[in-house]
Amino acid sequence: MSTLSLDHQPRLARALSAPGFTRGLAAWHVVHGVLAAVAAVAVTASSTIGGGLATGLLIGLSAVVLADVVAVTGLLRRTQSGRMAAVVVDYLTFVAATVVLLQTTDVFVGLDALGASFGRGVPFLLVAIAAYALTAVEPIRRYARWVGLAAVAATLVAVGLLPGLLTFLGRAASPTGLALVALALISVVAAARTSQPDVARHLRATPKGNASIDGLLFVSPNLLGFLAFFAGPLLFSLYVSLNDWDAFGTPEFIGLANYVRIFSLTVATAEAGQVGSDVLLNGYSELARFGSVVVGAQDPLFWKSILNILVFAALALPLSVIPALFLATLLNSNAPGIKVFRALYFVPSIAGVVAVALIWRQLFNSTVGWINYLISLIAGAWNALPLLPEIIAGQPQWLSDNGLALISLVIVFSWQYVGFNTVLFLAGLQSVDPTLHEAAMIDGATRWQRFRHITIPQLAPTTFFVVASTGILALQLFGEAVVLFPSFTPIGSGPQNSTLTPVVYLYDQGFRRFAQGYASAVAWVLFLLIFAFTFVQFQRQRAEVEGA
Amino acid sequence: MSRYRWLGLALVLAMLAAACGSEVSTDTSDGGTDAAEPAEETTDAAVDEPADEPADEPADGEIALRWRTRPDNQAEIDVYSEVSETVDAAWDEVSLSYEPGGSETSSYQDVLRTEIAAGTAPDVFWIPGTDVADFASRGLILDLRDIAEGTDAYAGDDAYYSEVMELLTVDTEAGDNSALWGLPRDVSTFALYLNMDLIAEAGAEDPRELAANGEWNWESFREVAEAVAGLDPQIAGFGMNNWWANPGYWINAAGGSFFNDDRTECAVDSDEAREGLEFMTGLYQDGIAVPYGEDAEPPFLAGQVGMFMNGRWATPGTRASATFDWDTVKLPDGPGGPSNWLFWGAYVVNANTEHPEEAFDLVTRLTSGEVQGTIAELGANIPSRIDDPAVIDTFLTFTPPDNAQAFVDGISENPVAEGPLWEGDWPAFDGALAPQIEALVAGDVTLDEFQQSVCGPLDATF
Repeated sequence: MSTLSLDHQPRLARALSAPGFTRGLAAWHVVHGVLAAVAAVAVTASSTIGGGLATGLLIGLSAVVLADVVAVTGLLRRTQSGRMAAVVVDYLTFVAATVVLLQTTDVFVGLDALGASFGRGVPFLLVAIAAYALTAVEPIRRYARWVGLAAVAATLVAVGLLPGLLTFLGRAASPTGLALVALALISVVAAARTSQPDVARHLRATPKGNASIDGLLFVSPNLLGFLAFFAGPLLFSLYVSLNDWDAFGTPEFIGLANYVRIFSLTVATAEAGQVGSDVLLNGYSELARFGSVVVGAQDPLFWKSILNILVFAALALPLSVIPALFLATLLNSNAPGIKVFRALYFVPSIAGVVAVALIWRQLFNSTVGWINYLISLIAGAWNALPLLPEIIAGQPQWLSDNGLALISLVIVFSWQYVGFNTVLFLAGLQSVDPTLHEAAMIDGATRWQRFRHITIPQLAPTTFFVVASTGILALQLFGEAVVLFPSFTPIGSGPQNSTLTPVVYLYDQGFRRFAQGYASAVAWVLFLLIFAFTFVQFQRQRAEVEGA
Repeated sequence: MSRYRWLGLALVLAMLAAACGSEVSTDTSDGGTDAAEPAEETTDAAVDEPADEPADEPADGEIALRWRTRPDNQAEIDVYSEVSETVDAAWDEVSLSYEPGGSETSSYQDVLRTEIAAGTAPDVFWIPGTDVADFASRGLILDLRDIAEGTDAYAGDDAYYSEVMELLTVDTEAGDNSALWGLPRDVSTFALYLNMDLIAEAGAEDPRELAANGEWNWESFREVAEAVAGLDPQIAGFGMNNWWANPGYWINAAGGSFFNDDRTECAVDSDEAREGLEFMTGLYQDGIAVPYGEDAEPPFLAGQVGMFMNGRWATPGTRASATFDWDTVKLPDGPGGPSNWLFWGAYVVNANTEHPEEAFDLVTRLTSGEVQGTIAELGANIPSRIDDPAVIDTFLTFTPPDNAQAFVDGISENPVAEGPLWEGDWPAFDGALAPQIEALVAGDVTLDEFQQSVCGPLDATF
């Protein structure tokens, strides 16, 4: 026995040593790559997996095979690239195996329902919080800690930890579950061991290479979230925009046809009294008329939405930014109670869009709304004054007049964001070097001159951020329109489509008409519009910095 | 890593484990795993569930079915929950789970379609009548005819309003009415909600008496509306919301229609439709009505509108909020005679359900006379069954309004059934018509221009 044990120990030690582990790691990645290749073949041969999903899986699995080849080659040659590829593949395999395990054991579904049973644990949780607070009191610190731990344990029991654990173990005990557990464990152990100093030295790691791996690991939670929930859907929507798809059946690839329909315009001449459809090409509807010239579009509603959003942004942007700058200047003082005012102006920003829009919908009601009531009160007060001409209070139809509906949206949007922009400007103002103002005052500059020639230039970076972020929000307008104009068709479009914005339009196309391909194409056109707006802002900012 | 971070990590993992024990995590009705979950996986939470609440967890051997409606208020949610529990208790083989959907303005259909695309929609759900063609043509709901013919549970097409069943049985491939896409949950009609205090103050004639005497027509309607509107600039004689059915009534009552007879072309450019829209537009342009596009319900409930056109579904809100003397009256007869809409929605079966027979059985149970009676007691809508007069009597006993008969009368007065557009795209038709009517009411286009151009974009939707 002792002989066997002595023989065994060096063998294990050799296997766990850096050279032994590297050989094992290379073997593991050969297996990993073969499994990925087999999976890719299975996807190709599968009759149940098709369309975009199959394409996506094939691309992903091919990337895994390629990464495994790089890892194996690099590990055998003891290069940094091999180490990097091995760590990345193992880390991603661990994450993927864990996610699939949680999915197949219904943990994600259970998280939804945890809310229902969580209430039973709240009393214990409150005790735990109280106990934690009491750990600050020295004489009872030890007892409070134990009470807190007991309360946390009681919370978990109350919300169903024990049956949950049993259920989880029961489900994970299936062949698939065990395979996923094994895959996750092997991957995480491999990634952790590869990162250790002796293995790094053996693989001739450089400080720069170590820093790269550490950096990637640090950003990986955010990076994976970005890839899964932003970049992935973004690319998927690009793929969908090249298809005719209703979200239910199989997508039909139609190339750029959706984009062609969006941008198709034509021009014709018409006599007075002649309707556009009489003179325009088949499939085109009248978009605008200039005298006898009729402009037609295959999708006039899209162009209407673009025109609406440009007008909206042109009005809402200055109304959300310029007042904010002046408000920030006023609030940039140490007057008593100034913090209360700062908080008050900020409140609309933290209120939900739906709540804000609902309140404004009541205020804007032309018959029983407070705004028209206020107008009538002001008119009454004016008329009560002597020697003044009598005025008649109008009853603006804020939500049903197609000439006013967009203005109503501008008011709501500006009211909501002016406070947030004020806080941003305030932060910018407080970073302006006060000696600049002092020097200007000594030189005899007026208050306006100081504001114009010191404050505004100093605020350029803040102004860039405020204009860019508010502009993007304006171009993406959706919630306010939908809540203010819920009874119009499409929802949020307002009287005669006067508040139809690109996002409202693409929502209608995608989720009411279920033209997912066309809606995705509209989304990409909007993306390009926002990108162009932001790009121009960046260019202007850069030019200003370089000019300075 | 500090001890507190380890503790935090352990807490998160423990919460994940606890999530496995939560009720829904073991619900397999839509997950593709066995419907019959092992009994030992039942959690404490499920055991602790009050006996009077529906159990999400199917018992051993039971089939789990989920179903959904679009309730208009909490009272309806309560009634449908009660119905679900009653049906569940009387049905040994099936475990029911009722899911109240969002309201009309919270995009009930959009959420439902998205869930269907994701494969998480309920087995049985309610959809408005206008959506049936869209759902059927996309293959989202089952043709239930074969199942219906194989069971005694189905009372037959004759047990429901014929106008509705005619639209609910269209088979576009066969070109006849041999399909069965679902069964109507209930029906409803329009009526005018009256502010009797305002009408009396204006010295106008009582619309109910005018209706009883056969004198309730557009002329007398306008006289009452004008009298009430003359009380004060802040008071309107009439109000209705911006919805396709509202201008549709004026078109229909003038003898017109949205569509031609076989519903394959636009007919909004007919002279009859023009006459109806001319009368309607006059109400707005003469300042008698709440501005078109404004929600007319808040001013009506605030006591500032004499007559408010809406369906029976507005009754619970009016009962709760109106502080004035109110009642209802049938819609006035137009130049084309009496007219109304027959609104309806249907319970349909998800094409992806694993239990189509049981799902159809559930549909028949939800539309049984007994269940319809329970719902009729709420008074929100009219029962869809016509083979049980007692159910209608139950509906009529729900007062106020005293004149609940106004809604029932609407069914017999040349109603036009809210209908799916089997040969066209209803959302596109609706989306193209609404702004044109808004432009007409606003005076941005003349009646001549409207008549000349309205059908161009509408015909493109067929």
